[in-house]
Amino acid sequence: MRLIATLLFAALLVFGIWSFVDSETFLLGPMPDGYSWWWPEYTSTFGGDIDFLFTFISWLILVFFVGTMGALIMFVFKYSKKREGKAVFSHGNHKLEMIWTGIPAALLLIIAFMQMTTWADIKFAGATAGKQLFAEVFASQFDWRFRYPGIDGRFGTADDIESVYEFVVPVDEDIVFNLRSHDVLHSFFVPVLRLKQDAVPGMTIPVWFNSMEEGTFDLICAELCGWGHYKMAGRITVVSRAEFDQWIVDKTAEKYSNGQENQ
Amino acid sequence: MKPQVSNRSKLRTVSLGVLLGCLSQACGFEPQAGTIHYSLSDSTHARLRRAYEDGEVANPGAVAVQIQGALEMLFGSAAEPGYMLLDDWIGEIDRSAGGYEELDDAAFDAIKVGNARRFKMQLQLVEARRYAEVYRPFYAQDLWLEWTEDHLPGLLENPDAPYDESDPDYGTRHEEAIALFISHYPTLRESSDMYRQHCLHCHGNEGGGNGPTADFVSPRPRDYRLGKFKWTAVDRNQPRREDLLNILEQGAKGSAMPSFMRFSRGQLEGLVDYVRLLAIRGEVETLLVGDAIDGEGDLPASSVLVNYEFVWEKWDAAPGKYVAVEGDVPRAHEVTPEMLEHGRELFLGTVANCFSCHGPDGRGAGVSLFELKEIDPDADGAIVLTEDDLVAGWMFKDFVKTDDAGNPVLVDGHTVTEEKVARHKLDDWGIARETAGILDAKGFGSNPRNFQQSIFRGGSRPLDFYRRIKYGIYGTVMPAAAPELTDDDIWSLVYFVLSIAEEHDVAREYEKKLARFDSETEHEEH
Amino acid sequence: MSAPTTTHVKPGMGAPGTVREHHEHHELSFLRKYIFSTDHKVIGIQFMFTGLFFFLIGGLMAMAIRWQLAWPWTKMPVIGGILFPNTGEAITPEFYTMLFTMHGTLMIFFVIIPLLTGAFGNFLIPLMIGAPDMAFPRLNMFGYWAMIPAIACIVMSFMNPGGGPAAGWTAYPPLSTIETAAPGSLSAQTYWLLALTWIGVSSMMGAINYVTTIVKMRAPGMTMMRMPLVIWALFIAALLQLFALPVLTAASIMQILDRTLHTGFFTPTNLVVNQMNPEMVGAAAGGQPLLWQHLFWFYSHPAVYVMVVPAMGMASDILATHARKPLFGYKPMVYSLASIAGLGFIVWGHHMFTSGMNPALGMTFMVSTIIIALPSAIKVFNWLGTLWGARIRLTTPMLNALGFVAMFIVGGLSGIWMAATPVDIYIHDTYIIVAHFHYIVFGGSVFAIFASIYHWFPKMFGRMMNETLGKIHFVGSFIFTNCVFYMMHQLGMAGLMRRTAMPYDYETYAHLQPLNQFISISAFCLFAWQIIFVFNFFHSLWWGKRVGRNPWQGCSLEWEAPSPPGHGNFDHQIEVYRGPYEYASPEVEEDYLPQAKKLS
Repeated sequence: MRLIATLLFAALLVFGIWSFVDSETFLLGPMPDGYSWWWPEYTSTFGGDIDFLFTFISWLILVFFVGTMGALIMFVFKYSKKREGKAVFSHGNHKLEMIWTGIPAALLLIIAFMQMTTWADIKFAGATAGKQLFAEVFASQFDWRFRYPGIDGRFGTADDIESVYEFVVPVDEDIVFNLRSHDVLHSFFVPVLRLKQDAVPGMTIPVWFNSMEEGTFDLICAELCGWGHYKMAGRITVVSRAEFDQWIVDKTAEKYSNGQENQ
Repeated sequence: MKPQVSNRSKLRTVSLGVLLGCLSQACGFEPQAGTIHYSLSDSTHARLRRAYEDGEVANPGAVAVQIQGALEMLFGSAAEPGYMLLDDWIGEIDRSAGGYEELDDAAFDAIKVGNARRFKMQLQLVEARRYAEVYRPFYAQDLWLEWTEDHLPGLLENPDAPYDESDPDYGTRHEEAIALFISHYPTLRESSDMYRQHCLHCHGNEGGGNGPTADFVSPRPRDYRLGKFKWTAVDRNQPRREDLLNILEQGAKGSAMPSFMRFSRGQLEGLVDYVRLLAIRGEVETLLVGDAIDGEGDLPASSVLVNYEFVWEKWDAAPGKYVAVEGDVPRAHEVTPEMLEHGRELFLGTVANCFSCHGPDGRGAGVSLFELKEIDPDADGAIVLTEDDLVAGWMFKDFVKTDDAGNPVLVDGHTVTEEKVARHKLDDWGIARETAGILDAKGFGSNPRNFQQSIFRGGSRPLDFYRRIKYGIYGTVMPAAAPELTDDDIWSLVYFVLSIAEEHDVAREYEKKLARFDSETEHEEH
Repeated sequence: MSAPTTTHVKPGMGAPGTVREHHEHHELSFLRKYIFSTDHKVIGIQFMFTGLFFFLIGGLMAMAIRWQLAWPWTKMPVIGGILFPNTGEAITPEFYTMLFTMHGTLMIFFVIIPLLTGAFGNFLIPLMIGAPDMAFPRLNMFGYWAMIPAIACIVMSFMNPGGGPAAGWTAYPPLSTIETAAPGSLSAQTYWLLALTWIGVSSMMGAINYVTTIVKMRAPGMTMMRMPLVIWALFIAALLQLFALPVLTAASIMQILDRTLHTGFFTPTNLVVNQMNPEMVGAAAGGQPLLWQHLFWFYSHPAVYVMVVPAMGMASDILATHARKPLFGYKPMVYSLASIAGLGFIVWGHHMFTSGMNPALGMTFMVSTIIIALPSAIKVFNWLGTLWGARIRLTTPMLNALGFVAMFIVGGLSGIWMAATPVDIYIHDTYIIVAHFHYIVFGGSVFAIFASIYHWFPKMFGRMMNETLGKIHFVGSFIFTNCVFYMMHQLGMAGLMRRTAMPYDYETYAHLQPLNQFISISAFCLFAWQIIFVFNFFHSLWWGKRVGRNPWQGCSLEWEAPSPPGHGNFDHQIEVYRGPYEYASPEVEEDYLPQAKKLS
């Protein structure tokens, strides 16, 4: 039993680390492009900070994981061996307690302070204050709809450009949008932008991001909103400014179409 | 007391046996999709039962079996759907192959052409070796990527020299290119599997809008079997394929029907085909039941094919009923206050008569006939519709006019009964729709759109409004516009309706909140 | 006391071990002895059977969830054919939402909390502090029987048009309050809320009892700092329940009012849900969905500590006992339990970082959440310290307790990712969260429950469970638990969302199906493996090896009583002379020195 127990815990340690290092094998299937052994590659400006934080914490966790699991494995192996005499009659060690309280505390506080500016930059009102509103995003059961202001620059007027499912934005620009919900809670989640914000009915929440790369990315609803939560998909299409302007022109033409071209 | 040792080993054996049994099951584990069966609709059964009770049909069960058999012949089973003998409609169909001789030419062409349009243009270009002209199918990104990356370089030496016949591999590459376009087309069977996964739980096995989830969504999912679809670009007819595709891509805002743009164009076109199959099947079923009852329980093969052709022809007529606008659509920034005022007058007037259902404020709380009693103190008791009214199509304008103050009042002499009102407040699918909380004194709803909510299911472009107003919404109580209304009148109405939506849009509330915030901070600064 | 009564000790009477002062009273009927009993041991065992039964039900739901994720829209075994015979025997999306809602609800409120606080709290507290029964035995009985209306409400919630509640166990409005928002919100949700209210009543009665008993009825010589850690843990968990539950009860009542009387606590204006606008049907509006979230998490975060703190206490006890060594750092362990509980009241916002609440609160909750990682870390180090230099007996309870430690390490470390708010933006509501809490609740609490059942079964029933089967059960459960939940970290890394019936249509998730299949098959194996435990449990009830008072050679007071203890628990005077973990004491020849043993 001693050997089995030791092997079990050792296996947890080994496979635990291995599965993170060699994701490809452990995903049990081919990995699509853009997927590394970590999160899908980010394209937003604050993605770097978030990923750095995650990696830093992961290293820290790794150290503690190896340390504690290693100690567990070693102690189980060593001290379950039948031997004479009694165990060490120790009720504790004050100095050790201080050490293993103090060091983790310091590390935790470091983590706490490291991330404060990142959070503020992403979420605080100051991040979006004074910036021009680019679009409005509406979440409803079970769709994402987007509207851009028309020539009048105001939302909710007759000249708005509406898009369903596809949110087209220009690259390398600060995109500020108002997030709303028609009915229940939803959440705007774009993994590659490292962006998530709940859409709360009754609230209008300004959100911003800046994508550094072009491409099409999945938009996923991240808050249970009913039976169709799993299919509430959208797409963020990041294109150059010129292409975006052209897209608006095309959508405007489509909006004012008189139907003749579809005969 | 039993000895311990034998207990333990017994326990061990039993447990290990159980585990090995489970593990062995795990190998070769291949969960299956369930099989679906088409059944006849409730209304078919109800009609047959009524016919039996009236003595017109001796054995309704046998008739049902006959109808089921005919439908299976025409449309296949749920496991293997397909139009009669039509497996692969991209290729050429041999007319002399069994079953088609009976169809007349027009019907045959309708079926063949109607089913061969997908990617047809691109396929024709590829077959004609005009590779450079193959255009990008919108949203069929995977197909386009494969075409441009894998196939095109091997087919085009340069833009001016489309092919090199001397290259021995060329022929293979050409065939592969054709196969590429064909393969991005799902078969009906594949589409039915997609339908099963994504659509069936709302729309039901036969497209009857009666899946398990249908009871919990409002508005109810479409029942395809009438062949009537609301949000189309045709004038009160079966839809074009493009209309069905449009709904799949755009969803119906304000309903549980989402946009399905996450699927490829090929998959969506396949779903359109399958939905059309279900719709046609439903329509043919309805006609066959009628014929069977008329034939006193006998359903001849000729009548089966006649009905099949008849329905196909209606679907084929859809492109001919397409609605477009002559001239340009006025743009939002071109709208004048006079236009809006004119729109408002029409809205509240009795020619267009919008207010009577949609309410003077556009909230969808139209004046119910039971409230009219209170408005007009001369009407006493129930109000009765005359036969003429029913034939002409019941419209408020016959009973209601506006007085000088702009309030609706009952026109003398007209009355309506409760029961007839109720029946007319159902739509063609027989559904008394739940309203946005607006019920009249008797608890009936009529579900006219609430313009203040900015939710327009069939699209909110001016052209979409034009179609709804001018041609009505097929299958609903929303009628086509009176012939007196000109296109300019309609545009005025369109922008008036949009102005109602604009006035109540949530963005206005937000602007007010921001303005309040700004003025408060200004106050603070002072 | 002159009249024969049921167990009744006046609080503060001291010397509660004086069973002999009680008069002979007539033998109780079967009903009064085993069904409507005020004896804490019987009530504890009643909670245990109830909890284990719902474990089965909740586990079945988990199997259905795993099936759907592995092979979406295929024929679901058993329930597919019964519930959806005409549409291909596949479950519908709304059924899936009901599955995960009820899986969470049952596991949290009907399994873990009743097992840890109801079963073991009831059984162990009087025994371990040397009391003949709880301070309020009849209240204790009421506490169990309040579970019955809760069970009835939960069962009734399934039998509604629209099916069971489907708004998640977190029941966020407006999804849960607006009838048209989800099929489960038609009427099932109201039953769900009522069930929660009754559970709250049950838990609060229990908590009052525990706190009073522990404070007032300890045997002479049992100071607070000589109590076994199990008791400290249960004491602190009871305090958590006492202070946090009223908030959940209030919130549930507010939601019931929103649903039935159409008040508007959580309903904002201008909603249009399935064409229904609440104001137009006369409901009040102008409320805040976020209010529910705050109120709910104010309870539910301490609730997760209620689920883990007793497990920690029990694991500590079992580790010390089977390692034959005193618990390393008893005082730091007590202080860390207390600080986990105390801090647990100010971290609830970490469930709401992306919820739309003021982001400044994100900062404050982040700091408190980061800090709360510390006491748990201290506990892990102390457990390891307990093992160092020990004479470990790898019995089944010990193996399960070691498994608890290992999996608690994994779960606890993954929690640090979530505490970092910007990182939480990505991982919130993904499978990393699911992996984290399942490691703590399943890898942690459930394994601690297994350990405790194996450890205290002899005390409860006077017989031992079979060691060999127990070890086989542990090995398989450990392997399969890790196969199931460890790979969920990978799913979460890819960003896979929770509560998603069919994720593979997203490009982001399309490659995850094989992994989900692996997890599902492991889950089925894990579920099947529990048959060994069930078999062992029931077989041992009747044919297990009979044992005496102290089969494990433990030091705490419960081993002074007969196995099983009779009415009044102890058959001799109990006085406490030392701490509860005096193993390997040099003062005696044996490797353990019981708390109540008097040395001359």
